[in-house]
Amino acid sequence: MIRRLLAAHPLGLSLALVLVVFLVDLSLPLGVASAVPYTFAVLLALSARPGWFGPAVAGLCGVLTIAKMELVPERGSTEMWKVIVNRCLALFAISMTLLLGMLRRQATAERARAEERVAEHQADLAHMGRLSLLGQLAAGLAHELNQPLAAVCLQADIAARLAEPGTPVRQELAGALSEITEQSSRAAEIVRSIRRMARRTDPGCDPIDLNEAVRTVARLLDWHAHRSGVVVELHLANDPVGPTFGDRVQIEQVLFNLIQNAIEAIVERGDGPRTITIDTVDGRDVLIVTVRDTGIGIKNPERVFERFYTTKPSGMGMGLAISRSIIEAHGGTMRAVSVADGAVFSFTLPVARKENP
Amino acid sequence: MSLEPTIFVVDDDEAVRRALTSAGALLGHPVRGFASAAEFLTAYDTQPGCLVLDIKMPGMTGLELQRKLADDGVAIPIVMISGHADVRIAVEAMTLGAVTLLEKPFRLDELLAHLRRAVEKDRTERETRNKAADIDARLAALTPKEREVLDMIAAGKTNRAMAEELQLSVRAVEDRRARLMKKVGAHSVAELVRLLGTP
Repeated sequence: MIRRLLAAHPLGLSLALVLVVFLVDLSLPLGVASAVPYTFAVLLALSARPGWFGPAVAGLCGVLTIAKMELVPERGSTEMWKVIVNRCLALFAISMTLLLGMLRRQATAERARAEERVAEHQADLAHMGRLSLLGQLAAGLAHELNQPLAAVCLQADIAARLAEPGTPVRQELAGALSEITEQSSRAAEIVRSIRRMARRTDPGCDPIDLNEAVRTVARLLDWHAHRSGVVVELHLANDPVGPTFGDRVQIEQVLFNLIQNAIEAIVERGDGPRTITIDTVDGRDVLIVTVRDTGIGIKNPERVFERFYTTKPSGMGMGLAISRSIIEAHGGTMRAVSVADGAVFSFTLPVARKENP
Repeated sequence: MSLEPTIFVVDDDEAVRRALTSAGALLGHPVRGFASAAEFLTAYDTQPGCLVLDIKMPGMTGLELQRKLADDGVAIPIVMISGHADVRIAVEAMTLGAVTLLEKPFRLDELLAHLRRAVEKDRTERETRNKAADIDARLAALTPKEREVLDMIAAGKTNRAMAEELQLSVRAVEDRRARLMKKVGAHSVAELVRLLGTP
């Protein structure tokens, strides 16, 4: 309350304080003590937005301090030199307050600028992350769409050949045609999942179906996992899971990152089991996603989220840092644990129930 | 071992494998499909035919299988297929002797033409190899002395020159010569020299 009042009218309050102090100073023989409240007025004025308020009020206080000496002679036996020393000490206190206040103001402004730069940088990196994600997605989709296309193309040619007059092969023809239908719908399903993923590109605040996000990303990375000989197992909570709000694409980006890292960790290890297990748990207040891999594990679980920390030769050390900042921006937490046979990454997202909006 | 040329298909994608298998069957040869390089390696024992091989596969890739077959001296012609063939992969596949590299998706006619070519290439190569092996076996049956005469004939020496060099009668050289011609199964000197040049 007082804080808010101070923040709203710093200059008015400061001038009012100066006036009160001046009147008290005029009417009481307090010597140097009367000037002390002026320092508060200076501090108040320094918190006002324009930079010159502080020095102006300080100047005013100085003038008033000296003016008092001229207007009301000190009573009693106080010697003149003591009065002057008193007033000088008061001036000193005011100017020191002004100096320290100005220095602090400057430091605060610099910190604010630095924070702004960091935020800008982070936005840039998130953008870069998304661009590289798009590139990887495009490569993966090209490969994944190519398979059904290759099958359709061949089967259609085969069907055409079988359909030529004088070829008594009804059954083979039917087989080729049903294969074409099946593979076309496989391609269409892939296209649908791209569309689902691409529908929103600007950060949004929509209800997210976490299970659906996991399924979409797992499907997009299927080719990559398959090619690396990795099996991805989904252990999802029963549908529908509690709703959570945020940017679906960003959450999918986090999942993409975690699964891709898991695949790379397994490939790097080479031998041993090659399984990624993704669990979703629907708690009362939070949804929990766990990505467990049987890869090389993590040496420094507490450092993996640091920016520019990477163990990959071609890595930038940005993926997990961005992922964690995305999850935290959604009100969740993210952590990493190294287990006996690999690594476990998990994150939470708050559930938006009706009773706790 | 079946002597009928077989088309072997190795592709991890089930749908593509089914399509390739149906396509191969149109040529009238038996077709056998495998989901991985390892499966193929356990089943394959230098049967005649050709191999349709996908490059991108989990576990051993197509290029790795091709290299292994080459290292093991297995000379089955390979039609490589790939989702996207960059220059590096194409060069590697062709350097290792692939018949061709088809980029998915491709047309049936294209595939069948290359399969025919591959099966034909395997047949002629096997023939050449068999002939060479046969000649080697025949040459191995010669005695060292007959072999000596054979080398001299190949060097273009006359019977008289040989007789002088070997300190034999011309008659004896003629005998030896007739014997070795019979053993090798050659009817003329020209044929004999051609046999020697083949391996």
